[in-house]
Amino acid sequence: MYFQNPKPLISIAESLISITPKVFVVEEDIYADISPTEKLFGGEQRLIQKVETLLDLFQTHPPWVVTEKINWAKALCIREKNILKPGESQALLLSLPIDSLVCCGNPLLIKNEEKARVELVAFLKKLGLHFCSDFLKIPPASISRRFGKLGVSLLHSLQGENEPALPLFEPNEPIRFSIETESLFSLESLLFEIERVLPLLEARLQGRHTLIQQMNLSFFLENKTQLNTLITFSPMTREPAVILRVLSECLNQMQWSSPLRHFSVQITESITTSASQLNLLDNTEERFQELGDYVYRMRLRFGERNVGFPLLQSTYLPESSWTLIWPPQENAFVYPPHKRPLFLFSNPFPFDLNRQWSLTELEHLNLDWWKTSIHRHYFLATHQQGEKLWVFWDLQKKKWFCHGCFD
Amino acid sequence: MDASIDFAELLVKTQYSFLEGASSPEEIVSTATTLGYSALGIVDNNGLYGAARTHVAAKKHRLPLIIGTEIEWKGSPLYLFAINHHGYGNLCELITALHQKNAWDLEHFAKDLYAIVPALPFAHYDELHSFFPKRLSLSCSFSLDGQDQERMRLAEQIISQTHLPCIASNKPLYHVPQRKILHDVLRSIQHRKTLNSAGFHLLPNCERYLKSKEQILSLFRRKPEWVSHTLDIASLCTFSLDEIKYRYPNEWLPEGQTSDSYLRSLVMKGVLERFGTSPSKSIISQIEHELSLIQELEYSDYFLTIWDIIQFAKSQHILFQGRGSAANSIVCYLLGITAIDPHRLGLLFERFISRERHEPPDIDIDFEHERREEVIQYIYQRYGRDRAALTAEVICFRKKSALREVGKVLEIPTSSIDSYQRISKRRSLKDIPIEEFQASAPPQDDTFFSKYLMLCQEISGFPRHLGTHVGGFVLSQDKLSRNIPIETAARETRTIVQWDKNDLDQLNFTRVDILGLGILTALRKCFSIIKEVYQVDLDLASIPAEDPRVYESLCKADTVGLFQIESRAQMNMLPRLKPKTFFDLVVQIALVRPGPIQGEMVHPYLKRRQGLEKVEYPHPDLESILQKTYGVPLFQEQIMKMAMKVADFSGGEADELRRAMGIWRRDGRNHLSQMGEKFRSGLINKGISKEFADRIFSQIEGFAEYGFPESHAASFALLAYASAYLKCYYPDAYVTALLNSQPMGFYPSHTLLYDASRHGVTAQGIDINFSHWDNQLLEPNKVRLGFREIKGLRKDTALTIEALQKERPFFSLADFVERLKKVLLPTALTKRDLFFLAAADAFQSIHLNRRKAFWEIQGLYLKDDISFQAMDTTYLLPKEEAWETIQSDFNAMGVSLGQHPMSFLRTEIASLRTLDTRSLLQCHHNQKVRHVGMVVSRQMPPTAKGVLFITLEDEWGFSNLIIWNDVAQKYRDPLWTETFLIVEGTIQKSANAEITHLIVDKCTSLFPRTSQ
Repeated sequence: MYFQNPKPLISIAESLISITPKVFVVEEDIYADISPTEKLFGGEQRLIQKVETLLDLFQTHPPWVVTEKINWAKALCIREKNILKPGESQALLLSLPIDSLVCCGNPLLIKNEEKARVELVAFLKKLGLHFCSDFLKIPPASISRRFGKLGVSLLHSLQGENEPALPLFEPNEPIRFSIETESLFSLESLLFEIERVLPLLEARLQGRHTLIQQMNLSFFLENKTQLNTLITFSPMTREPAVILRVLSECLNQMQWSSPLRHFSVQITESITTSASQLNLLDNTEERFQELGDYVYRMRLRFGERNVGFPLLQSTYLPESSWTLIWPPQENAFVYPPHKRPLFLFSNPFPFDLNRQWSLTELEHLNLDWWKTSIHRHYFLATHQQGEKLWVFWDLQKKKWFCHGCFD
Repeated sequence: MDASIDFAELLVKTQYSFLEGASSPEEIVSTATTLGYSALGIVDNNGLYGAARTHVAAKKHRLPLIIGTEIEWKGSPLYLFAINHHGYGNLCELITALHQKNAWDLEHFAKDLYAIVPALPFAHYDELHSFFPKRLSLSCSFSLDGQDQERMRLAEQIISQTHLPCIASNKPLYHVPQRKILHDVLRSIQHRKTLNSAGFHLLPNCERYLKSKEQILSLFRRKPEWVSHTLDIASLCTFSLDEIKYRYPNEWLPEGQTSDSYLRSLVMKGVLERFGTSPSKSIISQIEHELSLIQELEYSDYFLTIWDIIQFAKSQHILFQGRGSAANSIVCYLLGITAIDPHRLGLLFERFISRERHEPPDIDIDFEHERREEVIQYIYQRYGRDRAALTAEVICFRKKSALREVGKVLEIPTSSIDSYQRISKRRSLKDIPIEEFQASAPPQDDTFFSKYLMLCQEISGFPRHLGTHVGGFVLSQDKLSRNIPIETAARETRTIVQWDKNDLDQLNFTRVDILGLGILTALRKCFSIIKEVYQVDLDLASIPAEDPRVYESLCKADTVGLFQIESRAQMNMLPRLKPKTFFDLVVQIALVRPGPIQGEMVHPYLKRRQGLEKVEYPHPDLESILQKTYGVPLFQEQIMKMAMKVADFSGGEADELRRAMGIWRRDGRNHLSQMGEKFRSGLINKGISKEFADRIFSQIEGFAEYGFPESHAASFALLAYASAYLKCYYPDAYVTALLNSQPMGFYPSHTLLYDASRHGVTAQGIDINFSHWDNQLLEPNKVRLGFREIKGLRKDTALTIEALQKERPFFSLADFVERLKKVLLPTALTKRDLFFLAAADAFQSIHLNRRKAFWEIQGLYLKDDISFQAMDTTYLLPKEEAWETIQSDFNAMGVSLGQHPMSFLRTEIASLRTLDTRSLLQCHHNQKVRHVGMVVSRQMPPTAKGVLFITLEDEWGFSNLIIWNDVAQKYRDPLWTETFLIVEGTIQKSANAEITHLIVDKCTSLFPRTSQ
């Protein structure tokens, strides 16, 4: 089974694991071997129905094909849904225009070989070959002599030989979803939106064979404040109805000082339903001596996006001036010698500048006019008692903000 | 703070610091004047690219300008300024040396230069001090980038160590802070980054603008002496570009002769050759008039230089002809520069040189385009590279490049940029509603998209880099590199000055335009072929004049491949105008121009010529001027003569009037200048109707932009007649010569060949055993195509094949490869070359058709290993269909010897009930028809107000389509992109049924699916 450029790629791939464990993601496409699980779902037809339901759930309908060979799948994906019975695939492939050779064969090689394949096909056209079947008529020895390894590999692919082994897809992104609440006017409508998303969540969790242990709810209010609430599930679950009930109870108890604008949910702890997952809290911890190993564990524990090594960025904007990377790079960017404090607040906060502070102008920033437009005048604010802060006057908001503090 | 202190900003960069400076010299000077700066110093990177324009602007605003540049020296920026004329010479030479990329010594050029170096840790202050004693300063800027305090601290420390004075500067890159946006875009383009990834390549803020004196004083309040020191430097550097003394070369004058006397002697020699021993008095008086003006304005050396260049061309048998207003001069005619006798045609010398114009004369000479380089190299050799260089051309952003480059930095998808470029073709960005852009490729964010379009408009016209002018040479008696910096052009055999032609004109430098003209190449080649095949010796001078058969063919508009009269508009006009004499041809060339069209002079002229309208003159005084054009002014010279005769203009004033009209038009001003009013009132006072005066006036506007002077039209008419004569009597030789001179002209090679076949010429395909690099005329009417027609084939390889043919024929592919290998270096013979030959079906004589040849070469050359292996013959390749042959021929060569592509479509289109080009001619006026053809040309002239003209071709000839604006918009895609069109519309015929047009109502592609 092959899906061409489905969106969202990773979520669909994760969900497909609940149908077959043999899911492969290559570039922007998904390949799934359904032969081992076909019978589990009551035959191919039932399994296909299951897949269609899944795609409906994600409200996406990428072109897809069911065929016998991985090598043929991309070339045969010529319509929105192409379910080919055993034995039909090769005949169809051979009747296709010879341009189909460009995407025939090992999916892992197609992109790298694209230029050579296009050239080869152009050459074959010059010889008057118009269909894939014409290529099969060339004696193998002639193909080998004239077109080398690529020609031979395409020949084998057309003949249905040399099926490649693709690396299994392993999901590792944190599971989260978010809902814009600006147009929602009641708790019921929010719960309705949540209810709509939960089956997708379940599909992904199913694919990962995990149950939710803990989730974090983040509420972004109109007054720019953010509230976070942790919910622990006991027993652990992935049932939409159970999750909805727990969320409903939690939301009913919440009180917000300002209208809710944005709501997001992230699964912060989950537990695998199979035995193979690494338990971060077991006694193997002593084995990790090196910093790298430790950071690696931290990344697993807190999420890949939250732990790493700092890499300085080529930007004047303080809040974007570094990013987390993993693994560390040797030639990280050298930061220019700005007079900026080492300690930055992750988000600048409004600051009440009174007469106890004296100001020294440091720098002006006029950046990013093509997106958000930032106009700030930065100052060193020194308090009568000696405290030194890095503050700025936002020319658009006409407000003072504190952005960091000097030693 | 003392607000009375004055300030001179010395470190300004203009837009001529390419992709860095974001304001024009005019914007900078105007702002600096408004801000009350005492002086301005410009320091564009590694050159004086913007110096001339800034000088002109500064002169207008009476702002003292200090000419300087920024270079890099030992890892630090170094600003150098010319103190006086000698210093300016040194500065130019230093920049010239810098661009030669050889080692250069700063000390050698340091005299009379003032140097400023940023106050940063630098190990070479002592060395600089020794080069520039008392002429060295530090600079410090206050950029609010977070490092100002550190910079001030360092500056104070360095001053205390070196005891050097320091200046304050904001190092401006633009005149107002709002230009930071454009600056960011330019920098991103320069560093090939997107705005999102440009990071530290951009500036953190918009502080690098021209700040007011008060702002500067406030920033440097602790160091007011740094501000006042800028004035010390400004008062020291007094050099102005007006001091440049430019002189033309003259060292090759014969002993005892002055430039004037030598010119006179050459002219008198010319009189003997052209007019014999007894020229008329009027000729002598014209010669004397011209010579005295040339002498007075000191242009003799200029004429002698041109004469010298054409002597070289003559000696090398390179065809040439002077064009443009030079043909108004009898001196040019007598020196052999032009071929038109201005006296016989009654041309006007003032159109060429006038006392009032204060501009050097402009002589453009066309040479054979393939041999122009020989002339260019001769000039370099004759005058030396330090005294001769080509004019630069500042390459600016245009609409298309702006959409592409700004789009790239804003991360707009390439496919969307392509759509925007497509819809903005032939239209100004301002004229296209934003909705139309949005419909073609919906942007994600409308505000962002508006910014994109605004930036594209703003950046249009901004300099991007320096290119080479097509052929304008600057020559100098002294070292040119002491007047203008010289640098090597992209083509390494050429050197260019850092100024473009406008800059040179402004500073009164004289240029010689050495231009290339394809038709001259074609004519020379044609003469050679005729001599070889027909044993007839012809040249431009010996072509029989006023041949009736030639005019007969012109009247039938049989002009495909002819110089100047082959366009759709010209072909439409020829059967109406029916030229019978050379002067008719001059009129024909001048008539189909925007000037007469805009002035609505075309129809009155044609009607009067055909006797359908009475010839009248608005005033008896105008009869002598307008007689030859039936009372309708068509040429620039006539307009000027009218101004002189009825409005009492001097010759110079008349020319000034013509030029002034052009300036009004470009500036978009609606009022008429005093001169214009004087002209109009002059006409009206003489009793000429207001309507006529207005019409003439409107025509002058058009002339100033697009019109031909009669002299220019006459020069071109000579070449048009020559090409018509050759096509008429030797169509085989002419088409061979045209093909051997491509690319040139209006039509592609295949159209020229199909046209030739309609004149009985047959062609044979390319073959490795028979073809040469050039196309050959084997015998009358039999052409053998040459290797030059094969797209991509290298000339070296082709010439080697040609040489090997002479030894013995090739008998197999193995033989061909082995013999070529022996002559060429093994690496020089590539699989690509063999494929190019195979694609052109050039192996027929060794029994390999196109496909078989591809197949064998692929087996032969796997991995480019030149080892021959035995052919395998087991596999039978599919046979090539006739249609495929045509397609392959077109892909490989752009021509095909097979049937016309349309002939293969006849069965397919039979059911569509279409008419071919023969049937169209039989149709009656207003008949509704459907027609199919292959597109040969598309034209949308600026004067046509959106009307599109398309020429279709089929097996039997051409058809002319007219597509009105609304239909052109509706069917924009097929009309502009498709090769085969089905059109429906109405036939329009002229009264005498000689001209047939098809007014299109509907259009579709013949192959809608293949259009994707």
